[in-house]
Amino acid sequence: MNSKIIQNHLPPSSKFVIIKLFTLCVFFLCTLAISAQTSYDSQKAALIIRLSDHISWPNGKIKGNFNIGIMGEDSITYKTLKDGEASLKRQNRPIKIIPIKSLSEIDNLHVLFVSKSLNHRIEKISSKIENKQILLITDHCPDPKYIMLNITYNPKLKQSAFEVNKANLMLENLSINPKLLLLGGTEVDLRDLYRTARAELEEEQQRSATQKIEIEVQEKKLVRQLFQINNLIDSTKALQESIVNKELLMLKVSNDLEQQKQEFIQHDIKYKTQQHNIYLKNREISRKIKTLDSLKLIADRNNRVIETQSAQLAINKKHIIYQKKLLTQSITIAMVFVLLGLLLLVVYIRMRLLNKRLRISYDTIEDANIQLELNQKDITELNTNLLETNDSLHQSNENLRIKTDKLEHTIDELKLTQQKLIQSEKMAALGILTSGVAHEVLNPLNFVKSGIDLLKDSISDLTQAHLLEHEKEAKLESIKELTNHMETGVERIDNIVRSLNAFSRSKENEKVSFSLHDTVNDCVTILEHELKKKSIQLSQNLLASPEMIIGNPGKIHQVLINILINSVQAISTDGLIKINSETKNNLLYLIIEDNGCGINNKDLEQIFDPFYTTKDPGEGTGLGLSIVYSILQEHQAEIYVTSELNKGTKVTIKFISTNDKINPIR
Amino acid sequence: MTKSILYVDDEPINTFLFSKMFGVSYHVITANSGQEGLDILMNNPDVKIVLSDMKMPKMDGIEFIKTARETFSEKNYMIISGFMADSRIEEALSIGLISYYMNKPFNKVEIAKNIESSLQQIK
Repeated sequence: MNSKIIQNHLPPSSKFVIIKLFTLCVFFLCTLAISAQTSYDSQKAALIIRLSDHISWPNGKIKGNFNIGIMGEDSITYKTLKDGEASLKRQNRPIKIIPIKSLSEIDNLHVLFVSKSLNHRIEKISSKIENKQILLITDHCPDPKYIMLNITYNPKLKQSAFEVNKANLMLENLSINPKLLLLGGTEVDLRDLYRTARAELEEEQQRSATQKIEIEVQEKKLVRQLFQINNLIDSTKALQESIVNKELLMLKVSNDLEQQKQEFIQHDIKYKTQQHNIYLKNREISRKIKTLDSLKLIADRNNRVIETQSAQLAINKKHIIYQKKLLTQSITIAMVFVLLGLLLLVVYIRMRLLNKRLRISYDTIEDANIQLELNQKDITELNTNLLETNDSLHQSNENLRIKTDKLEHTIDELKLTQQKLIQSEKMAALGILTSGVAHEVLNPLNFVKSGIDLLKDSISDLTQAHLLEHEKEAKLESIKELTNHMETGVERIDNIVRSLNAFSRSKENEKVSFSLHDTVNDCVTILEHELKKKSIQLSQNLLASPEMIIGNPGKIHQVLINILINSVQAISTDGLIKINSETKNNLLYLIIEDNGCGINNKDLEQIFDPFYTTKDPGEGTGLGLSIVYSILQEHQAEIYVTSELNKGTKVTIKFISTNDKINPIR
Repeated sequence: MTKSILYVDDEPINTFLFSKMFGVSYHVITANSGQEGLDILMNNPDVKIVLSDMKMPKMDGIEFIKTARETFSEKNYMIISGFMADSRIEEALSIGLISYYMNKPFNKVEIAKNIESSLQQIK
C-alpha cells in the first residue's frame, strides 16, 4: 500500500530511479549470499595461518621452511594460502604451501589441512601422521576422536569457529598457547568421549559374556560328544576282543578238526588191521567149525560103535541074563548111560563156548562194516569233487584249444598279409621303373624296326639288275652292318626282359643257390635309364667269382632294386653310386654307396619302420626298407646303414656265402 | 643343293640308322650329345631343321633346343623320343619351342612329312 502511495506521489522519472535502486539492492543481497561461502573459504585460510601460530613444535622439528600441506578438494583455501605464501612467515620461517596427493608425501609437513571431502578417510590419515609431530587441521570433522584442530562454520551467525582436542595435540608433543581459545575455539568434551568409549566397552563386555556362555554350552556339548566317542571306542574294543576270541576259537576248532582227522586216519589204520584180524579170525572159526564137524562125526561113529556095542551088550545081557541074572544086566546099562551123558555134556559145553566167540566176532565185523560205509561215503564225495574238477579242467582245455586255433588263424592271416605287402611293394617299385624300362626297350626296338625298313630297301636295291659289282658289295656290307645293329637291339631287349623276369620270376618261398653278382647286374640293367636320366655315374667293383648265396633270387632282387632306387632318388644331379663286394670269413659283403643328400640321425633310426617315409604322399609307400629288412632277416642276412647329411649314404649287406656253385639258375 | 638337317641322339646306332634312312634325301649331320649339337650348329649355318632325342645325359632335348634357339631362332626344331608326351613337351609345343613331337621307333613316312612341311614354312 505504501509503495502505491509513493508511486502516486512521485513523478514518472523518479519511478525509474526506484526500480533501478531496487534491482541494485536485489543484486547486492544475492552477491552477499554467494559471497558467504566464499568468505568462509578465505576465513579458513586465515584460521589455518593464525591457529598454527598458537601451536609450538618440539625443538628441532622446524628447519628450513614452515610446510603447510593441503589435502583434498579445496581449491579456494589452497589458492588463498598460495597467494599469501610469499608475504607470510610463521614460527620465523618462510611458509611453503604444498598440495598433497598421497599420504606418502606428508613426512616433512608441520601442518596438514584435510578438506571436508576426505572426512570419510580421517581415521586412516590420523593413524598415518602418528608420531610425526604434524598439526592436523580438519574441516567439519564429525568424529572428535581424530581431531586436533577442527574448523567449523555457523551459517546462521555467518561465523567460523574451531574445536581443539588437547589430548591428541599433546600425544604429538605439540603444545598449545592458552590464548588459542580466545580466538573463538571450544574444547572437545573429553568426558563425552570417555562416556561413549565406556559405553562401547560395556557393550563389548556384554557381548564377550554372552560369547563365553555360548562357549560353555559348546564345551558341554563337546564333553558329551567326547563321552559318546569314548563309549563307541569301548564298544569297538569289546567287539575287537570278541573277534579275537572267536578267531582263537576258530583256531582251536581247526586244531580239533586236524586232530579228528588224525584220529580218523588212525582209526582207518586200526580198521584195516581189525579187518585183517577178522579175516584171520574167520579163518580160525571156519577151521574150528571143521574140527567140530569132525568131532561130531567121531561122536556119531562112537554112537554107532556104542549102539553096536549096546547091541552086543544086549546080546551079552541076554547072555548075562542068562548067565548072571537081571542085576548085573541093569548095572551095565546104567553105566553105559552115565558115560553117554558125560560125553554129551562135554560136547555141549564146548559148542556153547564156540558160539559165544563167534557172536563177539560178528559184532566187531558189523562195527567195522559201519565204519567202512562211512569211509566209502567220504570217498564217494571226494570222487564227485574230483569229477567236477576234471570237468572244469576239460572246459578250460577246450577254451584253450579254441584260443590256440584262433591265434593260429590270425598268424596265418598275418603271413598272408605280409606276402601281399611284399608283392605290392614290388609292384610299386616296378611302377617307378616302368616308364624308364619302356624307354630302354624302345631304343633297341628302334634298332630292329628301322633296321628292317632299311634292309627291305637294300634288298629291293640288290634285286635291280643294273648294279655294278662294287655297288653290290657296298650294299651287302651295309646289310651286314644293319643286321649287326639289329642283333645288338635284340640282345639289349633280351637282357632287359630277362632282368625284369628275374625280378618277378621266383615263387614265393623257393630257395635256390644263385649268384649275387648276376642279381646285381640285373638290377643295374633295369635301373640303367634312371641312372642315365640323372647323369649318375655307376662304379661297379665286384669280385671276379660269381659269389653264390642261398635264398630267393626274386626277393633279393627286390631288396637291391629298393636300395638302389633310394640311392638314385637321394641324388639330385651328377651323382655317383658305388657297388662293391667283399668276402671275409665265409661272409659276403655287398656295399652300396651314394653321394646323395644323406639321411639325418632322427630319420636314420626309423628307416626300417613300416610306413615311415620322408617322401611326398604317393611317391613312396614307406614299406620299401621295412620289407628289405624282413626279406634279409629271412635270408639270415644283416643290413647296416650309415649316413652323413649332404655327404651320402652307405648301405652294407652281410650275406652268408655258400659258393658251392651247384644248381645256379640261368 | 640338298638341304642340311641335324639329328642329335646319345645312341650311336640311332644316329647311324637315321643317317641311313634320310641320307638319300638330305644332308644329314649327326651328334651324340646336346653340346656336340650346339658346336655343329655354330659351324654349319646352312642347317635349317634340327631333330633331337629327349632323354640324354647332361643336357636333355628341351634344354638343348632352348639353348640353341637363343642363338639360332630362325631354325625349325622337333623332338623324337621313346616317351609319351609329358607336360614339358606339351608346353614346348604350345609356346612354339618345337614344331613337332614324334615317337620312337622311327616312322619314316611321318618324319619325312614333318621335315618337308617345316622346310616349306621356312621358305
